[in-house]
Amino acid sequence: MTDHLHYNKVATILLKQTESISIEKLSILSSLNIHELKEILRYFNKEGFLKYKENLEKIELTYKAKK
Amino acid sequence: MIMEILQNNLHIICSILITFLLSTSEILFGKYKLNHAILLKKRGYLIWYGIYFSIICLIINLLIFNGELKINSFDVTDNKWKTAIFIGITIKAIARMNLYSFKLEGKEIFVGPKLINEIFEDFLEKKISDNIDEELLIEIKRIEKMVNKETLGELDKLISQCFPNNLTEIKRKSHLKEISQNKVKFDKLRYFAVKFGLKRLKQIETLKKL
Repeated sequence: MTDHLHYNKVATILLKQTESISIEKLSILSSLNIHELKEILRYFNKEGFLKYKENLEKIELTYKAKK
Repeated sequence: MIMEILQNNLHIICSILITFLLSTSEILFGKYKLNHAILLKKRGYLIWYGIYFSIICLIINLLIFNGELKINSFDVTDNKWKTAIFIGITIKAIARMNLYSFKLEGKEIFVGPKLINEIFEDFLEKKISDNIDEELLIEIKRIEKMVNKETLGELDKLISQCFPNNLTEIKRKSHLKEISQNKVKFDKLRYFAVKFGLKRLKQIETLKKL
């Protein structure tokens, strides 16, 4: 378990995307490691913010996340 | 005599005024927009910031209107106002340039406002930033004392009620999650103050009193 996860940083990056991105690209854009990203995305998915659920190759926000 | 000098140089005065307003507004409503209230309260270095760029603006205006600096083939005497306003608007970019060069032992040496600008601009911005941090620290400590009876969960709830209404759902939840990750009240309040500014932080106090 990472001590402090950067949820806001990932959210800001995802809000700027116009199409779905992979976890690897997200890792490069955010400078966060995959392990940390997986944990953040798991939380986002639980909240219903990810369009393609657990598919880490296609990460895109739902309308609920953006509203 | 003085009135005559002022009247003949109204365009330069206008240029200086534009510089002063633009440079201070950039700090107030740009970089430190969340905490401009603190800046207006402790405005000493902000005014110095404006004065510093105004002095650079005056020097550049004098150099251009005396013919020391040339704007390509543009005739500045025929376009006094245009030139002065243009300098006023672009002074921050001009201040970061080397305007002259000379050769020493065959090597080119660059001289210009850039040399002193790096020192003064950084110094003044650092002082402005220090003032804001100091004031934020005082406020965070004060609010921390005010919420000493609340549990960490209760404080999270209190903070969440002070979030701006225009936040997207994912941003709201992300901030909340990051705040709840902090296990010390001071850290929670510091995170909130840094992200949303002093005015929002003070809303916690208002909510607490209700």
